[in-house]
Amino acid sequence: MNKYNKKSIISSYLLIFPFVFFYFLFLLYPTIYTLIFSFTNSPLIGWGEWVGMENYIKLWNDKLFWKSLKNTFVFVFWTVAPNTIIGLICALMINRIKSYLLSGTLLACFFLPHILPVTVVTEIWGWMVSKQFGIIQELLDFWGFKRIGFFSQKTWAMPMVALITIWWTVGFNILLFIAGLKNISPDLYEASDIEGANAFQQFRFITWPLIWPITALVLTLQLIFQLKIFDQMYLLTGGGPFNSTIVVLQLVYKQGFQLNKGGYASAIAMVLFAIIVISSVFQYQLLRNKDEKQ
Amino acid sequence: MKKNITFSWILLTLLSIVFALIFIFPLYWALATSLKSEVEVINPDWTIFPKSFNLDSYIDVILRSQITTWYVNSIMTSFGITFLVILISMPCGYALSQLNFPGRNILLLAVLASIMVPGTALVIALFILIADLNLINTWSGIILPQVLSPVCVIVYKQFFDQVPKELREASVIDGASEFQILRKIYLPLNWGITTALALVTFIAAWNNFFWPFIMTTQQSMFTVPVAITSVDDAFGIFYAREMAVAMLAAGPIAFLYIIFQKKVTQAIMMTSGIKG
Amino acid sequence: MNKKLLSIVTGLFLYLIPVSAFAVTEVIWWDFLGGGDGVRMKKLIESFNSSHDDIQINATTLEWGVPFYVKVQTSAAIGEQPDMMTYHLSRFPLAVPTGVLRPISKAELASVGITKDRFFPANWEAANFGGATHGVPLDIHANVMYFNAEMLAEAGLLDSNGDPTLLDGIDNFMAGLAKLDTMVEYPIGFASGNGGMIWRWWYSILRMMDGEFIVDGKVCPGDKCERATQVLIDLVEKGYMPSETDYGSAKAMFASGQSAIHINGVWEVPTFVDLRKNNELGFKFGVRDMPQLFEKEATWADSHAFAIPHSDKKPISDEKLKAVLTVMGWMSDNSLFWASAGHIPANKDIVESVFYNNMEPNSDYANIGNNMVTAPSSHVTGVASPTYDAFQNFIMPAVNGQLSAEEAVQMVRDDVESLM
Repeated sequence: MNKYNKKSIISSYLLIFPFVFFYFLFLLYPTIYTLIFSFTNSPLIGWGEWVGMENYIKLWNDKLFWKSLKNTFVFVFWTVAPNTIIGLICALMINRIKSYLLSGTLLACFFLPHILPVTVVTEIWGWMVSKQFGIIQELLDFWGFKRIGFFSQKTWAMPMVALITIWWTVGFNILLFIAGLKNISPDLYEASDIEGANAFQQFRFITWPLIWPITALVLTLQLIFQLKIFDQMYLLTGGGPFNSTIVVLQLVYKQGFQLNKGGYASAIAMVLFAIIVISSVFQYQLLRNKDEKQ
Repeated sequence: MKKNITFSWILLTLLSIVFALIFIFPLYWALATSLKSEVEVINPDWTIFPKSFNLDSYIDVILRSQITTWYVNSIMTSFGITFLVILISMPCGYALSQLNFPGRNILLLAVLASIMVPGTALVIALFILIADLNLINTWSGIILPQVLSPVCVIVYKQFFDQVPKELREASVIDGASEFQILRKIYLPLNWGITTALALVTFIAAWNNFFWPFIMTTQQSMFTVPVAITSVDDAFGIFYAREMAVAMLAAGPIAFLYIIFQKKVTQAIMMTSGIKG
Repeated sequence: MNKKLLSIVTGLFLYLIPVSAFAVTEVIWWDFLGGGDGVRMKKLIESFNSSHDDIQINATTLEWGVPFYVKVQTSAAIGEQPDMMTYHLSRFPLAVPTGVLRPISKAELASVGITKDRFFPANWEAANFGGATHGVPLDIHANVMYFNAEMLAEAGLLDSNGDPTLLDGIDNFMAGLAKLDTMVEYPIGFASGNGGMIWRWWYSILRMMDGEFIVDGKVCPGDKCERATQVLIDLVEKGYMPSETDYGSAKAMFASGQSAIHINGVWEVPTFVDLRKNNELGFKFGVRDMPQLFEKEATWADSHAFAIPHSDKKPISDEKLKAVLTVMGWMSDNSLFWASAGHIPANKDIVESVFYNNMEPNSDYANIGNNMVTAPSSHVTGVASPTYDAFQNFIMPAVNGQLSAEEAVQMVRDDVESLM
């Protein structure tokens, strides 16, 4: 059988052309540019000289780079799994409610933060945790705790940014999970009810396996998104205290825009890109194997 | 047995409501703060409900800043991005789903790979590119780098995969072109997910901070999220005004969401009704 | 009908000619001035625009600090730079070598009446870093002490002239604070969570001890840096100053009467003046130079200057240059109004004028002119420099009790020296 027929091929190319065009222009070209740039000692704008692997060697020896890498992974730890779990729990909570009005309202409560721009989120939370006037501090007072400067304490800065990030983004996961849950036929639950299954058993044997594709998708997307984090960290902590929250992308910004070392910053960007690819592929394989085992 | 279910049902429902209220509290608090006077805000005897309904902060912000201009910028660029994203992603998702052509697998791989690219890291190269195209401080400059949405392509592909093959085969036999099939069969069956994708894209476009932050240098071209960081024009003690700006920035979008929320939820429920 | 047409056309011509005779040059201006500064500068700009038919300033205010300076750099590189901008003189050693500032020749300055005699010597020297004039100073701004006159009087720290007393000298200062501590929880409202604010006060204290930040390419020789840090640590430890407080909260603490003293820059003078005018400040306040705690007199100061960004891609045209110089000249001549933002005008003539000397509360702290110290002239110091970052990163946690002074200063040394 002729796999490709001429008419079909032309149609295909026409259909994919806009996407491919922009892909080349706004993704491939800048990526290659950044790659080449990383082998030079250029400033932010303009070209310097070719220096080969020098930037990468410098990177290997840069303490701050390793710190930012560690911070990025710590952040991933604080957000990816919790964000997914909380998303699933909220989705389950909302899904079991038959009243459309109530479930819609609940969903709105959880999703509303997601539609806020990052600067609004950081402004609101900055105000809430303000050491002198923040309402969270008042709560701490009420419960007899000492006030905490969340963004200036090493132990609190990262978890706080993680909390705010989860608050901001969990709505998206909830939406995906609800879509997945709605795809599960109610017949399955009815059948298990008849057989006397309780809620936990239903979850473990029906719900969990059937939404596993969504869970895997959410986990992977979360990993990718959080490895790419920049905005909230930059706005809330600026990388402090003692560089305990500086993440890799912020290092790119600092080296490139603040210290004017475009070539070096590009090298860092390339390394981050590689890390994201490797982590995602690794995680995807891991999850897929688990999937196949089931 | 029925009684037990009812009790735990009520308990769980109540818990859900309480949790949702706690979740939404920061937004309420920001709103309440914005309606207090500045003096009331920093008064040690603060209250949960504003003692007086004070719109001074809002008036101050509206009069003193270019917030309407910023709104126009955000709206125009977000609509532009959403429209172009859907326009570009849908055909691509369709082709990947239904058609076979040389390079199909490469394209699929490329789309998946691009989800992982940290856009922020490419900002230097993008900035120079946009500058060379003379699009700095223009809507196009803000829009164009954001029209690539690999996630939309993948989602479209997956939903198109679910459409019964018989429908397409019948049309092919009838001599319809791929464009016609896409337009007349696949699209109508997928309005739900299109709406959902459009909404999510719009929100992401609106929210985008870093790219507009880097490439706009004139205040008249700021988008709303960027402009907020510059309205520290607020004078003196300014918490109420800060929250007023935040509310003005978020308000209309929140309002729109609440109106369209039913559509999104409906859309998702609709698409879940499609059997593969 | 022809006559009517003729008169219409003639009318149009007569209308158009005067308009085209005054071709308006638009000057694109960027500044980072917000708050009280922003309000006052906008008034100045309005004033200029309404008195000049041929030049109109189109001003944009961008975010203070790193974002501003980054934007200047990136836009200059691609030819989208503004025609003129505000710039911190403390940043010149960092900026001049990168070529982002266009030197202004003596002749160009003279064409609008600007010569070096107009300025204070140290100020002019800083503006001429690198052997050419890269900026025209507008003001000098320094740290001052705002105080709640009523509270200080109650603690016996105000003399009969309404001046704070018994606060000079570190021991007196501590004793005075102890007294205030019995009256309020935190006698000093200070932004202990803000690296820039800490730098300014810390640097003043260091210079009061006759210490230096950078000597021969080495950061913090000796132990004076540690001692200066310890002063601030002690203030927080003893509970005289709140920990981890941000800029806005520190101001609010003073304005709401929760603190008796507020250490900040002069730029907040209009904030409190306006609050008082609107009866929103519940007490009488005063402004003086900061308490001098050690042997030497010193007060941190920096200066705002007008500069022209340099771009290889699109250098400024002669027509725009003329307009920009006119603006700079006018601003300098009219900087008395700028003083109402709390600053000391860089224009010596104005400072020595009767009007300035009668200005309240500026005349109360005019003494600063004599003991001002500016940041060391180096490419690692100045606004939005690595030093600012280092202070946010290391000294700030130390002040808030998370690190010892020695540890923090050593980290600063390592961090800053690695960039020198």
